Amino acid sequence: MIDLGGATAIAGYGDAYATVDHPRNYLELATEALRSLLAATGLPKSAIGAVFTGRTPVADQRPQWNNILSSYFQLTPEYGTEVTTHGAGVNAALAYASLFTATGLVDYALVLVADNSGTNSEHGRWVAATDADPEFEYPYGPSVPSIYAQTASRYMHEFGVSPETLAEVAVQHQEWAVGHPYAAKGGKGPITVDTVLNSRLIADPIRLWNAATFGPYGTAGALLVTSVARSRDLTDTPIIIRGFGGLNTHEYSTDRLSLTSSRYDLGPLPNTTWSGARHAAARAFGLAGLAPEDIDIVECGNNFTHIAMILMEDFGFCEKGKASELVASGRLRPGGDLPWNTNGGWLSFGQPGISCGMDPIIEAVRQLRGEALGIQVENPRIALTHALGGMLACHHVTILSR
Amino acid sequence: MTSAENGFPPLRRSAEAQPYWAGLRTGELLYQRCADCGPVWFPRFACPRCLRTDLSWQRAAGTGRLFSYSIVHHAADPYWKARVPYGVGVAAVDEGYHIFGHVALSRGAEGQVRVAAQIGEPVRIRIVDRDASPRLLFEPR
Repeated sequence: MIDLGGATAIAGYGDAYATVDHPRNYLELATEALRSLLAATGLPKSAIGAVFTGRTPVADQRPQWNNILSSYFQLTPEYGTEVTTHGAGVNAALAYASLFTATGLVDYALVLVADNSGTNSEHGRWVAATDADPEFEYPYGPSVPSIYAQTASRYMHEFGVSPETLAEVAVQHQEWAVGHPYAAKGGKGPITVDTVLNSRLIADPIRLWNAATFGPYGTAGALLVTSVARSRDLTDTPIIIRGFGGLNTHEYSTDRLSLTSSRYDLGPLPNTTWSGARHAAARAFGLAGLAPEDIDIVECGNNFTHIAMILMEDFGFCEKGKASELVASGRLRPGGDLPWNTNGGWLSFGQPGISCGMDPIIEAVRQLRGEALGIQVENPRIALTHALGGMLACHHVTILSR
Repeated sequence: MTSAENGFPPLRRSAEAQPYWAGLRTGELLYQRCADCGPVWFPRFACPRCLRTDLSWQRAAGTGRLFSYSIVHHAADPYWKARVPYGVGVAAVDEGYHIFGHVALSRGAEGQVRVAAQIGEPVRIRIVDRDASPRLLFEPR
């Protein structure tokens, strides 16, 4: 087998943002991201041999989205598909792009994702209807936060995690967000533990500030993946794809509890507090020949404060049940040695739709290149990126370095 | 999916689950069992572990323990928006599987809404609205 660890690179990127004051269509955002990528690399679009997108945007919902986007920009790829293990598929698209370019099947692969859920007022109903089992969960009226709260109530019960610690996670994300010009909650300024504990309950034990926010109004990201050798012809600062891994354990949350054995490390089954991120990260570290202590920044998909803590454990930064100590250590906040979601993450930067899977990658690439839009971490070399999809169901990790 | 009456969200009834729904209408909580692997939930044409197709339908006693919960305070669907707060959760059924349903609520000493049974405490799995759209309610036992 080809050694995929460090074989390919992100040779260029483009990104675009919309705000409430300056709303922009997702195709307009995709256009800007793609144009920006091509301008930065000087590559003609005819050179792109494969196009990978996430699933169809919340704002659009047409199937065959990869082909719609390709046609819109008159890309005529030999290979194209939506990579869709929910939101995790966007991160997984880097693995597909790496495989296709490392093998030489195509020279250049494009990953292009854009969304602006702000234009779709039915978003809340739509996600609840698609993320709960239609026969055995949906008839009980679960909201998405209430499905995630099943894990929150278990996590607090099993490991004695306090509401104050969960609130501190939100406080630290907000510290990063206030520095980012496009973070949806950035304008709200710094918050305290009391801000979180006094915010309204949306799905007990989850309060408003424990949950990801919709927005920013829209984002787009474009990534050009090619062999490391080719990347050096296009840029002085290629971002090397060091390793990746994924795991998809279920679709509907109740189904996770019927998983009573697995060849993968999912903790003592059945449970809902150990995630597929354990294997995804271990696989990525193995491919990269790296360990958690090598990571300089983490840009990951935590949509609730308890999910951030579960990911800290499952990525291997601490033992299961010990994330409270990591949160209290201050290592994750600005100035710490393990910066965590430096744009504010899904909690404070927000989830603009399916492009929420792209935003952490763009943030990592910008940080590694020293081009952060918000708070620039001092000289980061290695980044762990991750996206989560479904009901804590799908995970993909990609480790990037300068 | 078929639309139910009174604005209740559309319901799905899958072919392999027909005995389950028929059981609820007569007040019985049924589940499938694989002779090799044990309880199977959700209903399937085959055991998801070993893919044996000769699953048997068994009757559960209707008892278990609360495994996890949430109290919904904000709902997007108009039908549920009118009904907040309500509890949703998972019961660990005594026969060895986990099932999703409504969780009974109570008022705490200061009037705050809470689940009537806490995680790990015994619950009775009651079948409500048996004739129209039967659902499960987890109550303290």
